[in-house]
Amino acid sequence: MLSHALSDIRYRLRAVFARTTVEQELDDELRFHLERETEKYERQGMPHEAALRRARVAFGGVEQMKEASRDMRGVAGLQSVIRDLRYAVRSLTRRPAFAVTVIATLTLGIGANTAIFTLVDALLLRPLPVPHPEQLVIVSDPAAVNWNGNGPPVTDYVSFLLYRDVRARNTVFTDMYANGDTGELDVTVGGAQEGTVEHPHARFVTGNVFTVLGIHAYAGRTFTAQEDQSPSDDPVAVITYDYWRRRFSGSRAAIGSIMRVNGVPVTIIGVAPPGFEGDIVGQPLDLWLPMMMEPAIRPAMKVLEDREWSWLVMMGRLKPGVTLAQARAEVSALEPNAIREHLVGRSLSQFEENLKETPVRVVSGARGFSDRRAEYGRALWVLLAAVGLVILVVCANVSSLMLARTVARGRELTVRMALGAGRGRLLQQLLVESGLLALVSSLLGVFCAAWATRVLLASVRPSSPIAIDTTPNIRVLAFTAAITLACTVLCGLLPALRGTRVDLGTSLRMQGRNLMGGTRAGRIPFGRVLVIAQLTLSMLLLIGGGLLVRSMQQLLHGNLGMDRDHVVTVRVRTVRSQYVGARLAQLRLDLAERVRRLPGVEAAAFADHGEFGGGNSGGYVDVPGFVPNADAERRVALDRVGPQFFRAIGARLLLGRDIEASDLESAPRAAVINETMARRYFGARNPLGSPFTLDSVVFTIVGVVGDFQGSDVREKPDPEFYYASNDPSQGDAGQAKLFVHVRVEPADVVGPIRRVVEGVAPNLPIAVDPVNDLVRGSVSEDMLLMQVTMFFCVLTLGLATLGLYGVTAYASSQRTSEFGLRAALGAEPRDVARMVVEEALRVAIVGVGMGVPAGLAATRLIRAQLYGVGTIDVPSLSIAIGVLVTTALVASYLPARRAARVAPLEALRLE
Amino acid sequence: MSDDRLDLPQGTLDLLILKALTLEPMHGWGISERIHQASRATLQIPQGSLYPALHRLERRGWIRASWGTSDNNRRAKYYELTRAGRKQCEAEAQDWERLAAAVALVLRIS
Repeated sequence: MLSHALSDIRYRLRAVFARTTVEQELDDELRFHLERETEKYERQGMPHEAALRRARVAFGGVEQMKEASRDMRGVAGLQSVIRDLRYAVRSLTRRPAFAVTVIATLTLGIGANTAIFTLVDALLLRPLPVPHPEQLVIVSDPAAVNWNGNGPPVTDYVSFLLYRDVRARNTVFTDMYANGDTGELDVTVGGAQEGTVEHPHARFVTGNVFTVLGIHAYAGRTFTAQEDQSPSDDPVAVITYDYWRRRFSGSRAAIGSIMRVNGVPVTIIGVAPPGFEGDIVGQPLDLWLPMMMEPAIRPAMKVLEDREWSWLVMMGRLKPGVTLAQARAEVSALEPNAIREHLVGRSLSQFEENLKETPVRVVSGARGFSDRRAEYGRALWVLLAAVGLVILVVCANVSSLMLARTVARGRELTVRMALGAGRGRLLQQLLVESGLLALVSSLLGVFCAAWATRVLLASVRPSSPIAIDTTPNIRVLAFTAAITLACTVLCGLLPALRGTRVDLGTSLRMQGRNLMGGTRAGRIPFGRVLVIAQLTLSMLLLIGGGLLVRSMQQLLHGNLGMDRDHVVTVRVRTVRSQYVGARLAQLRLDLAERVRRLPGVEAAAFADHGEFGGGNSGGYVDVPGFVPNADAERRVALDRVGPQFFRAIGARLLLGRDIEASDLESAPRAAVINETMARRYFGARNPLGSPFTLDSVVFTIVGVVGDFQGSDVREKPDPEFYYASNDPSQGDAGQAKLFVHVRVEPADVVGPIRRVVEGVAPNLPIAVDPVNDLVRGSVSEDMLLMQVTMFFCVLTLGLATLGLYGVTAYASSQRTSEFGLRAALGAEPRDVARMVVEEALRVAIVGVGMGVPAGLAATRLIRAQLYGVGTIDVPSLSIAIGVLVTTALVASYLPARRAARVAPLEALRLE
Repeated sequence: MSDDRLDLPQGTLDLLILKALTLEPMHGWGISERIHQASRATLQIPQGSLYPALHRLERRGWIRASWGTSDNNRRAKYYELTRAGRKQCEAEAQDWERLAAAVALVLRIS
């Protein structure tokens, strides 16, 4: 069987590629046969002529035999396709405008789709590049990777001791490893004491991480089982391939060299293979450090021994034969038990409460951890849907272009059909032509996509970049191929079917211009359907895009509860500097004092968290007169602030007073609560003067402040209270934060503020940002979604305008004689023009009529992306409708002008 | 020369060609002559179906073609049986014998 197949293929290949030779051989063979046959008759005594004739008659039709032989070669199909390809190339190069337009449009559509799908694949679909990723199981929240939280034990992040318990007691995993954030590290490459300080991205990992994941070192080695057993014993690190090439130029000398991490010398022992950037998708990573080095590198934190410090995420590999469900069942029981053993009383009941709300999560780890996925995932799916709309519009547009072309070639097709070409054969030729266009476009589109993905990724905020590999892989290429095929069919099939459906009789006759009957035969209702489709889809995008724009407006300028346009935040990193303890407290006071004296500054105050700084603190309060139904109702957020904090951020005091300097020393401590907290615990009563307790510390309420957004602009504010504190042992002792309320433009004071701060605290990392910049940074993914959607809107509108223009121009050119007649009968030019415009408007109205309900239904899908706008937003809806109507006017302008200029005699002469 | 042409079904033509080549390689005209003679001048292969059949057999890999010089010093395309072709010939010949015998049996019943 195999030999048959091989010889078959070889024969066919020869028939295709050596066609001339094969034909020549056939000619020779047949000629030889005829000669011998002739000779035979001659030998029987016939004269040469008669013998030749006899032989020919006996032989039969030569051409038919050649055809039959060619059929037997089995490559007729392929050869006809090749012939069609050559013909398509010739006819396309003869009309380059058409080819270029179609290729450009298709490239945009296919390229955009490939780009978005590359991102979707890389961030949302791709499994980790490790052997058997389906065996990996995450015991925590896959999106929880970046938080050094502490407080009551949670089930998503685990403490190191809890990890050890779960690892020791489970029976479902061959092994488990844990992985935690290192925070910012000061790294000097080269081992010298002094040198440029860099901040590579690093993670603390248990020593078995590479074994569990199944990763072998590309150069050097990875952690052994002996390392990572005892604290601070093994100062080694493994670096990523990318970091190795970037920072060490891929030099082998890097392996074995020393780098100082927070002052601790660490030896680089190996390089991970290329393509493996850790188990956290989308986050850049440069090196792994053993968990046991944590006490040496971060001596102040004592994290490994504290059960309260939940900062690790865990991953395990299932034993063969064990299912995810079994693992889930076991771990969901095992982990809480391990936690319970070390809790009593209040903490225990708090934990049980938490457990009810967030049970232990045991999910597949095939795609690794990713908080970027959680951040951007939704937006990406929305983009994919939007770009799907774009490709549909593109296909409709190209389809109508092709339809116009086949109609223009009507005579050619008719003649060929009259000569005997079957409809299928013509269909094949037209499809080959559209297939060729689609193929060229898809190749160009893949290149465009590569560029576009880079641009998209680069425009994400630099503080949390997305690090993903965007080189096309099999899935992406298969997606592109599928789209190309769909385009070929969508764009080419319908026009081809239409074009080859010709009535030979009437078409061959010269089509007389029948004044009475108008030009019914000339209309392309199908072309109009395509344009309506394009307009409807554009409407969908317009509505969605409009809502996103309005959302962004709200995000960037909406009311946040404080004076967002006139507040500047200052952050000074004091960790590992001389500012600890009392010096840190003094620094805060000094900073506030000095900045306050700057011209243009109204107020300045320090605070622990303030706003948009990341991080927050909380606690459980007891308010006399309030009986909570659950422990969760006792939880509030809190912030330690300096004097005049609310003046410094421009928040509105509803009752009572601001925090003053005297409050720093007072007892009971003075607290200002926010609106939400007042409403929860006091209802309509006046809370001023009432006390409350937190962890046995008594506070007195001296004021109520209006809610303001602390961190995430979208979330409702929690109940929160603020008290005066400059205690360096509490809260975030690694930095000093200052909030400055200015009378002038924030951008103008950034420089002076920075100089003052540098004067007070030289040589420390300082960040000075107006609040609006921070807000903009925190909504960068929404900004990106909005920008890309608007780009797609413009694209589809442009295409729809062109489509409408084409159809209108064609329809009015068909009616030239009608216009001429009307003009001869006394119609004004503008009446004729109005007819053309009305025609276009009618089409646009249909598009609007179909697009609006569809758009309103579809916006429900993006409700999560919206902020401050409902799904039926009248302003953006009216603008969308207005834009579409304007499109119709613009598209019909030129055809209307041409129609108005039709001279009656000219038109009637066109017979 | 009588014109008792029997319309040969396609499979039979293949079999005859293969059989004709079992003795020695031959060119197309020679195969036609050989079959004509071997059938005692009964079978005359319609020339129109000979060459397509030959090309089909060549594609299937049962015969192999090469160019050589004929006995009257002209260039001609010679075909020869391959090993697979030889096996195919035997198999088909057996099938044919069985079929013919069965048909004959049925016809004898009357």
